[in-house]
Parts: sequence; C-alpha cells; structure tokens
Amino acid sequence: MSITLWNKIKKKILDLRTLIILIFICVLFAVLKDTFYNPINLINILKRSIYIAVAAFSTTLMLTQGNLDISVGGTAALVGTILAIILKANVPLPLAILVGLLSGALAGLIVGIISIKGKTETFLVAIAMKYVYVGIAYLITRGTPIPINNKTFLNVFGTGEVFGFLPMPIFILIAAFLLIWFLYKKTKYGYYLRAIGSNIEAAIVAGINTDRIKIITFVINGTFAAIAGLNLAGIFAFGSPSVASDLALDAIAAVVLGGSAVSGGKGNIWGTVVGVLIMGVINNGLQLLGAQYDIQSIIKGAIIVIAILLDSWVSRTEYAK
Amino acid sequence: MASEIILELKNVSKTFSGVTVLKNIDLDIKKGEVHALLGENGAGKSTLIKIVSGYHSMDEGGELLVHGKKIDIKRPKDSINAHISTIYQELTLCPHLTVAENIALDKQDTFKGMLQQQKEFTRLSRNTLNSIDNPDIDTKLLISDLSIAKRQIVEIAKAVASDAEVILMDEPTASISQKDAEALMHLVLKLKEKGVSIIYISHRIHEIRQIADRVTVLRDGNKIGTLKKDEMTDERIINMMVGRDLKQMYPKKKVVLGETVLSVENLTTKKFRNVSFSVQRGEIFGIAGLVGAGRTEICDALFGRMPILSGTIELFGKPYLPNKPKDCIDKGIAYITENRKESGLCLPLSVNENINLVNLREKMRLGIVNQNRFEELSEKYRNTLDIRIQSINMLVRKLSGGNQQKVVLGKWLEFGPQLILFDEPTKGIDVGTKAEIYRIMGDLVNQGVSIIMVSSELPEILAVTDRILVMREGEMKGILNTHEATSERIMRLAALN
Amino acid sequence: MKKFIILTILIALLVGCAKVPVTTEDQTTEDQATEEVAVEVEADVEADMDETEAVEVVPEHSNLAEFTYVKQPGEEFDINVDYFETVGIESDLQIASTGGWVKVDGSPQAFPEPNETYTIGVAMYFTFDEVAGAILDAVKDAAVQMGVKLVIHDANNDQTAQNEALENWLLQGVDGVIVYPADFHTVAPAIAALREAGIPVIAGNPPMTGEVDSMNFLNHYDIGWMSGVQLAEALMEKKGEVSGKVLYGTLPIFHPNAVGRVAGFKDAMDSYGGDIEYIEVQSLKQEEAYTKFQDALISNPDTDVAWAVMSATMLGINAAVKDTGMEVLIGGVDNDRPILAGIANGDIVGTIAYSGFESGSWTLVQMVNLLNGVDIPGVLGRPINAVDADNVAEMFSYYYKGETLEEYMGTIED
Repeated sequence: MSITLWNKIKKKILDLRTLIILIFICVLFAVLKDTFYNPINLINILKRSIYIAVAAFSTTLMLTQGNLDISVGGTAALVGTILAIILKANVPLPLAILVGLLSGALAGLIVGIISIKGKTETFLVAIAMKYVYVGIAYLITRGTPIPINNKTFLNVFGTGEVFGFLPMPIFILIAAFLLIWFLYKKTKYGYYLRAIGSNIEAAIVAGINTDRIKIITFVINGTFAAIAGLNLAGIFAFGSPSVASDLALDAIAAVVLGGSAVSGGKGNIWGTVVGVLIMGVINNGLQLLGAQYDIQSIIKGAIIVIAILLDSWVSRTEYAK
Repeated sequence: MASEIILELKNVSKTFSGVTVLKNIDLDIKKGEVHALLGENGAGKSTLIKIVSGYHSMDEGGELLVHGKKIDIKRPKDSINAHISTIYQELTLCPHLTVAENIALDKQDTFKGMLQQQKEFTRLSRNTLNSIDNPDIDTKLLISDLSIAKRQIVEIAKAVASDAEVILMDEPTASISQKDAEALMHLVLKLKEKGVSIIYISHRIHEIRQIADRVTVLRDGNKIGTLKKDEMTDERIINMMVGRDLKQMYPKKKVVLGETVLSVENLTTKKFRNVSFSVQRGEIFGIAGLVGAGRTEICDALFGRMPILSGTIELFGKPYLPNKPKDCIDKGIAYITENRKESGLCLPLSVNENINLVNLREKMRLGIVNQNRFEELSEKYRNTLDIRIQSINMLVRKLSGGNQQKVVLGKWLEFGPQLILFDEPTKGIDVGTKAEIYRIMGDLVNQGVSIIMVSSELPEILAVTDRILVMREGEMKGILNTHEATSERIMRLAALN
Repeated sequence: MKKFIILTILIALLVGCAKVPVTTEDQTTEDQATEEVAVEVEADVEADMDETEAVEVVPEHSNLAEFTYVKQPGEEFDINVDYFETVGIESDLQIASTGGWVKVDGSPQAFPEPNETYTIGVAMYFTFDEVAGAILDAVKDAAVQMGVKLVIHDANNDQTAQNEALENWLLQGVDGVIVYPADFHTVAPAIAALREAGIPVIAGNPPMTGEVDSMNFLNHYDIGWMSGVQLAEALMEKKGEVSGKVLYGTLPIFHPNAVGRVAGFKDAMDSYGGDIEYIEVQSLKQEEAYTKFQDALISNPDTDVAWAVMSATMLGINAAVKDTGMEVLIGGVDNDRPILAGIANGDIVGTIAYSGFESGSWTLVQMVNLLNGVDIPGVLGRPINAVDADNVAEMFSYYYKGETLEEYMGTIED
C-alpha cells in the first residue's frame, strides 16, 4: 500500500464532496439572503424534505443493488388515497396505516417480481406500473381528493409539532433513517445487497439467493414510498391521486447527489441525507432570492449533472490502480 | 507428503452445441500437490476448470469424485461446499466490500442469524491472512482501494477461508508484475505445505517447472499425458503441447513477394518494446506468442488504437503515424479484430446490410439507399468469398462463425485495402471452414495484398505464413522464416526464459 | 409481393382506425364564463318548456328565452377587440355564426329536438379533473335527453393526439364537433380542416387562433375581478384598509386564462385605492405550490393575502399557510371539492367558481340547434359565481349533483 498522506486527504475530500457542496451553498445563501438562516426557514426545509428523504432512503438500497424503480410516485399517490378512503369508512387509524404500508409493500413486490422473475428491464416495468398505480388512485377516488379529518393522523404525518417547533413527521424521518441504516449496515440482507450490486457473479458463487434479496429491496422500496405517501396526505390533509408525480426523480437525484455509485454496489445513506438537503436548500434559497420557476429548474438540473460527472470521475480514478 | 487422492475426474467430456471441446478426460489430484494444467489456447483448460467449479455441467458418462465419493456439481456453490475454490482471471471479488466482507462471503452458511457479524468477519479474515503470511493487509479497506496483486491475495485468502482443499488458479500471474508473481508462487508453495492441493494453469513453462509437482497437458480437448516433476523438460512439454502439423493439409501457394509495404523500426508502446519488422507485398506475415505477449497490441498500434511512445513506421515508402482508425482505413489498412462484433459486424442485421455498412454514403443519393447497388455488392462477395447462405437477407446472427468471418472480410474488402491486419482469423471457426479462410487469404496475397496475421494456433501460423515474428511478454524474440520454423522452435521462443 | 401485402394490411388498418369511434370515459374543460357577474342561479323552467314547444316552421333557438343579449343577432362585433385585447392577450379568433352574443344564467332549461340522429364528436384536452368530470357527465346527460350519438376523445393534454382524433372524425363523417383544445394555437389546422369539409365546430374552451362557428365563453378577467373584490372586502374587514402585501400564485407557462384572471384580480384590489405590493410565485403542481409558497411566506412574514390562479395552487397555498402558522387570507379561482371544503372549515375566504356541467350542456344544446339550421349565438357566456362561507354548502350541491358538502367532508374526529 502506498497511500501517501496527500492521497489520504484527497480521498477524504472526495468522500465528503457532497457535504462540502451543501455547506458551500448554505453559506452562499446565508450571505445573499438574511432570512435563510432563520430557524423557522431551516425547519421548514427539513419538514418539506421528509417525503422525498424517505423515498430517497429506499432508493439508495435500490441503486446499491443496481436497479431503479420509478413507480414510487404512483405508489405514494395510491397509498394516500387508499388511506383517505378507509379512514373515511371509520377504520381505526393503526389498522388504516397498516393497510397503507402493506399496499405500498405489495406495489413494490409486484414491480419486483415482474422485473426480476420475468428477467426484464426494471426501468420499463416501473414506468408501466406507475401508470397502473396512478390509474387505480384515480379510479378509486373518481379523480377527487378525499379529505382526511383524523387529527391524530394529521398531527403525526402532517403538521403536528412537539415542543412548539419540532415537526412531528421528523420522527418518522428519523425512524426511516435508522431502519435503512440498520438494514444496510447491520443485517445480512444489507451485506448481500452490497455484494450483489458490487459483483453479482461473486454473490451467486457464494450461494446467495440473489433474486430473493433483490425482490426484498423492491418491497422495502414500496413500503417507504407508502410512508412518503402518508406524509404527503398528512401535509395536504387529503388523499389526492395527483400528488407525488415527480417523487421518484427527486429521490433518485438526491441519491445520486449524495454520492451513491450509479453503477451499483456502493450506497451512501448519509450521503442521501445530504443530497436531499442540497435539493431542499437549493429550491428554498433560490425562491427566497426571488428566482422564478425557469431559473430554479435550470440550476437544479445543472447541479445534478455536476454530481453525476463527479461520481463518474471519482469511480474512474478509484479503479485506475 | 501424503499421496491420498482428493479430487478425481473420470471420463469427463463436454460438448457445446455439437462441438466437442473436451474428450474423455481423466485426472487425479493428490493432497498437497501443485498440479499444472497446460495447453494451447482452445485446448480445453478453461472448460475443464468451469466444469469443476460448477459453471458448466459435464456430459453424461463423466464422474467427479472428491475423497473417492461421487459428487454432483450443478452450480458454483456445490463446488465450494465440496471444498473446491476457483480463482478466475477476472477476479470475483466485490470491489465495494471490505477485505473482511469479501473473505467471509463464501462462508455465509456458517454465520447464523439475520445480522452481519462484522467482528467474526474480521477475525476470520485476520486469521486467514496471517496463516498465509500476509498479515499486513488491512481487513477494513475496500477492495477497490487495493492493488491487483493484493486483490489476488485476498482472493486466495477467500478460498482458504472457505476451507478449500483444492484451489484452481486460472493464470494467476497473467496480469501482475514479476515481483508479485514470485510472491504469489511463494504463497502457492505455502498452501501446498498446509496440505492444500492446487490446480495451476499458466502459459509460463518456467513457472510451472518451478512449482508444479505434476503437469497435465491438454490439446484439442484431449488429455495428451501427465508428467511427474523429474520428467518435466521443456522439450517434452512443448512436444506434447504442439504436435499436429497442418502444413500438409493446407499447402501454401507460392506467391512472388514484391516491394516492402510496411516497415517498422523500434516501435514501443505501453504494452511492448522495440519491435522492428517489415512486410512485403504479397506476404503473409505471422505474429506468434502466448496470450498477453503483445501480439494484438502491435496491430492496435498500427491501426491507431494505441498510442505510440517511440519508433518509426513507413507505409508504402512514406512515413506513417497512425492517428485514428479512420485515417488508417483511408491509407489502405484494414483491421479484422479477434472479436467479430468489434470489427463492425451487426449481428441483428442481414448479410446484405452488414456488407454495405462500409462506404454507405457513396451508395446513397440524397440520403436514400440504392437497394440495387446494395444487392449487387452483396452478391459479388457472396460468390467470391463463397459465403454459404440461402439469401443475402439472412441475419448474420444465424450464420456459423466461418460465414460470419467471411462477411467481415467482404465488408473490409470493399475498402480495397493493401494491408490487412488479421487477428486470430479462424477463432471459433470449424476445421473445414478454416481451410477456406486460408484459401481466401492465399487469393488475396496473390492479388498483391499483404497480410499481418496474429494467431495462437501454431499449426495454422506454420501453414500459411511466409515469416513469423515471435513475441514474449512485450518483447520481440525473433523472426523466423516459416520454411525453417517448427512448433518447438516457436514455443521455445514464446514460452521459455 | 411481401411488401405489397404488408402495405395493403397497413392501409386497411389505417382505414379501420379511422372508422372505429374513439370512445373514452371522461372530459373536461376548465373555462367558460359570462360577460357579466352573475351570482344567482335560478330559472323558470315551465316558461321555457312552453316556448320550446311553440317552435314552428322558422327554426328558432330552443333556449331563446334564457338569453340576455350583449350583442343582437346580426350586430357586428369582434371578440378579439371586445375581450381579449382588454386583458392584454393577442388573439385572432373569428366567429362564423351571426346569432349575436348572449349570456345565460345557468344550465339550459330546454333541449332541442334533433331533426335527425346526429353523431357529434367531443374532443377533450383531458378528462381527469373535477371540471372535466362534470363536463363529460353533462354532455352525456344532454345526449341522452336529445337522442344524439356521441364520440368522445381524451387527448390527455396532447394536442397531436387531439388533432389526429379530429382528422379521424373528418374521415368518419361526424355531423359536428365540440372541441376543448389542449393547445390554443396548434389545434387551428385541425379545426380549419373540419370546417372546410362542412363540419361545424363549437369551441368549448375558446381557441385563440382560427375560425369556429360558435364558442362557449367564460370571462376570466371578471373571474379575477370578482376574486379580487372578495379578498379586498375580507382584508377591509380584518385591517380596516385594503393595503399590504399580496402573494399571487400563477403558472410558469403562458396561459391566456391565467393572464386574464391575474389582471382582473389586481385591478379589483387596486380599485380600492390602497397601497399594495404584489409578489409573483410560479408553480404547476400542488407540491410545488406548497414548497414555493412556504418559502415565499417565510421571506415575507408580513403577507396579508395569498391568491391562487387555479385549484392546485390554492391547495398548495392552504397547506403552506397551515405549516407556517401565519394569518393569511387565502382566495382564488376554481371549485374543486377540497377548495369548497376549505371554505367551509374557514381556511379559505372564498373562491370564484363556474360549472363544468353548464359548459357541457350548453355546447351540446348549441350544436344540435346549429345542426337543426338555427342561427345560433356566436358567443355564449356562462355564469360565474362567488362562493364563500355563506353559500358554500348550497353551491357544492349545485356543482356536484347528488352530493352534499357535509357528506364529502365526513365527520371531524379529535
């Protein structure tokens, strides 16, 4: 091993590149606009990033195994509408939430089984199933958002606060993060997942049931999409079929920004948190500065492209040994 | 050393879609021996390894015995469970996992519960690395942070950790430096001391003589014989590897050689050094050597696919600096690579479309394809090259290797090349069609074209060339006149220090 | 030979496609209105029925009694000058019918009897939203009433798809076409082709380019104006003056209806003479409106009014205001169920609404009259209604027939 000190420093900088970007843009916005560092503003960035973060966590697992499931937006919308409908029918809240989560898991399972067992392109299956899920959401609501009146639900998943400032859904975010972190770092599932994404041949040789592990990831992804859908339903106090249409793309962008390898094998859950925050901060900061839709869109896209190029450059230098 | 037989193959054969690549192989591996497998490319070594490691299944009638008990190996995991580990040329490590996680991967059955037992992983890998004298590898590093040589050691540790009694190594020294190769051979001897048996595949005869207890030679899917350590002389090994003589089967036509077409002086790139030779009009110039000796790379350099560090080239008497493939084509050079798909064969398209991919612009008017000219051209090559197809609209994917090669040739001939670089012209082609490819090559040189031909098949290179350049490990070892050359002389230059 | 067969099959398929009626489930249109503010919905059914029966030899419009004329039959007018230019929109729309410009007060009270069984194409830009559902229900109801055959197409916001459907109908030989375009300009050639072939066209959602026989019309400037009045009154009540900071949510894309609404809203607010600062916030989707208004509210904590050009914006604003906990007056345009629910529970001051049901019924009534040989009004303006806490329950049941607001909102649990 001949890693010199400089190489070590360089490696650290590369590892922390997204965090450095986040700090940089935070400082930039703080200098440009005094309202940015208002605690209310920071909490709001966090609060509205929750549903994207939750979807991005499980998307990190997806990307680690080398798949992308863009049906999650449809799943989130569908779960929100299912929950609203069964709450309206006076189903007890815990049961309703359970049904919502199971619906999400089932939605993920279907995409997983079709694409893995059917040996097809996940991306295409997911596009198709997103149409199906959104269609079902429109069908069961007849296109009308269904109001949600359950105060407990609205507090926990929506606008409730603890200590007068901390949004309650933040606990859902923390729980989701811990769960993903545990799965990824501590369970055999996480280990196999990384092995599969890293070198599927080696995983097969080791006797790992790769299909099963992959399908589990789809189920987790669907369940987390369901949590995102519940969060959205809580925010708007409606189960609406038209929400979350861009959820999958926002989540993927955040994961890639966070430095997970696009080619699979290397997920970065902390990085995903940073990626979500970067997206949230950019949107927020530009809006505070008075930039309109056009400029925001361009800058968001440009930052994602830079992150992808950086990822590609880093992985090339990593292997050039 | 105990002479207990650990692994035994009986009557193992393998047929791929009608082509027999292994015939009735018997092999026995004793405990704690290093058993070398040797043979030319295509002799069947890789297939044999893949049967033992569970990637291919053997044909009916063969048997594999471990400790005298018949074992059915259907998938790679079965092989590992039978304590057989395989280390392939392309490494089978997971680059984003740590050293410890990789070493523990094949041992997963022994870790109970739902959780990763990182402490156990670390302990297992630490112990294993210590036991093979490589305690300095940090088990927490990612594989992607290690050098190739270190990765290979981790791969061996992974095999040892899974309690392998037999380790198969497929050309382990092919892509590492001399120093690392020596360390690796030291490690092989260390394993042998611990009672592990090694099946060691290498082209480097000196390595084999250094560490092998026995060597088995394969040729054309047949086992030619097994030599004990004291019987291993270079002569005997080389004799067993070569053997057959194609000169009688494919008599070379006499062609009068013309002026010098290409001359190369001290050509050096990253992959080879100080290569000098010249090619005359009407000559078939062969380049021989083992895989990785730098043969293909010479063609790559001449075709502008590899940067030239130093040296000069003259083409048709003018200085020539290969820049990019397009320029080389314009200067009259064609390059038919070993990989037919790389040479521009589009498998899902028809013969007609493939042949016409070249010079497409000339055959179109205002962007519209002139079908008649297309078909005219395809029919011309179908006849002159004797491409055996029912119709020129057949898809190339459905053709045999030989006919595909003819389509590639037809395509390139449309450029009217003066010099053809031909890498492994008969790779994947059956014996009958090989003769036709040689005939076409003969016709071409008769018309004044020159050919540089890279081949791993010594009989073929001896049969069709005028002169042969032999390469070993990036160095030019000599140029032989073919009528004076023999397989043994070439093999000696190509494989011996 | 093979090529010939394939070609033949292709042609057969194309012809076949043209003949198969494209039927889809739904439709919508978002906009139509009357020239003037009409708040009350009432009508004298019996009187109208009598008149319809009295129609004799000279074809007379079945709904003559419901019309209030803005321009008399035969009177010259230019909708581009008289409406679009006044709200700053460049437009080149010609109206072929010379039956004047009328406004109506509500749904048609009479249905004409068709001279023969007409087949009428209804081309919708999309069918999956509140107003769209209502339009489609109304068209279907009216068709049953009159005994008219319908062919319905859902373009899913793709004008290319809609144009293709219109061309198919031309080959198929429908008697008339009602079109709610996805794009106001690129629909023009398809409409021109229909009219050239003698097939009359009524625009449900007026196109800015080209010529149609008649159009069904909502005055978006008035919609905006009424909304401005609604919020200005509420602001007056709260602060004692109509001044302060107003965030108004509009679209990032150019949409003539949005332009009219914004202009009307600002003019109404300004007409109170106070000092008002306007801040524009652009969004398309509900989540975008939510986050962007959150940001805008945080950087403008002194905001008095948040106004929405359409429903998705208003729902996003509602969630954002709840999040920030600020006391902001919310108002805007559209009458989706959740908006009406928001008015009922006091989150939203009010909204300006119009009925998709009326739009659907009127276009079909107009079309059948036209095919019967009546010189129908070239412009039919529909009513717009201000909805606030006082009339929201009543209006909910008017817009969503057979439903009640109470039932929709469900019981509030603690």
